Amino acid sequence: MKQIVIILSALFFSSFSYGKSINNTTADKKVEAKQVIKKIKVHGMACPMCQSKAESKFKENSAVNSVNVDMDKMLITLNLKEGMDLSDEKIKPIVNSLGLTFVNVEK
Amino acid sequence: MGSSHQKFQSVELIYSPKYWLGTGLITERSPDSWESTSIQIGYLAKRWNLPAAQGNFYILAGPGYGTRFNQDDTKVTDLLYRVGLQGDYETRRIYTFAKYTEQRFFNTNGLINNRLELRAGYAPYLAKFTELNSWVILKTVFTNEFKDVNYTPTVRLFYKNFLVDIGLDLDGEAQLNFMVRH
Repeated sequence: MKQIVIILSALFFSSFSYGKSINNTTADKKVEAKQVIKKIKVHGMACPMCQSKAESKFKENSAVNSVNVDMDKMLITLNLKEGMDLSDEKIKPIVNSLGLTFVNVEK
Repeated sequence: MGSSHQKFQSVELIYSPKYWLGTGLITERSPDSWESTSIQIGYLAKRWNLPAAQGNFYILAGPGYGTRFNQDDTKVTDLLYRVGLQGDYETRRIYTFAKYTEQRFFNTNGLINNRLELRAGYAPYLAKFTELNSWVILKTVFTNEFKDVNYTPTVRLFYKNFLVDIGLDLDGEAQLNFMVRH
């Protein structure tokens, strides 16, 4: 009987410990695969049509999950898909193709 | 884009493969004076992108075909060229625009029509693309056909890709301008 209790206790604690380690692993993955947000400062966005064009153009990019354009701050904010990134070198020609001037990506 | 006024009507179909290039077909007429259909190539020669504003300067040119109705009831129909310059400067609150176009017959270099249009506008409130945008605009037109300058106070409304200008000039004549962007 004593042996059974010891074995059951060992199984209980080991499963608890295993569950904890699974949770840690999942959390690590979430950290590793967290969404990247890019805030692109531009010049020349003077009309709502520019806002629409910027949204459409960036949504075409496979790395982009969603786009938000703030015309007051002249900011295009990209929410990238998990595990995806978009370098400044790739962002600049997209902004230029819209006829806008790329200023920087806010860090 | 279409524009209608008792003294001037036009329909423009413009395709812009790049932001700096617009190509299309323009049909214009001034009843009892002239009418023309021409190809237009619009080239953005210079753009100024400022922190909260944009300025543009375009060169317009293209060949066409048109008719001028003379005062002695004769008419001349021939190939023509249409050239022009266009500039604009706008913020989210202020809109200014100037466009000069001239049409001449190729063979005789005779003037068919010239037209200078100036616009100055103000947006009473700021709106996003998905909201109704409104502008109050004063349009001023000088042409070789009329001695008097034509002033047209206009309300511009645009929502998403649809734009309409509704104006009434100082002679009481209505002006309608409609534009759809794709």
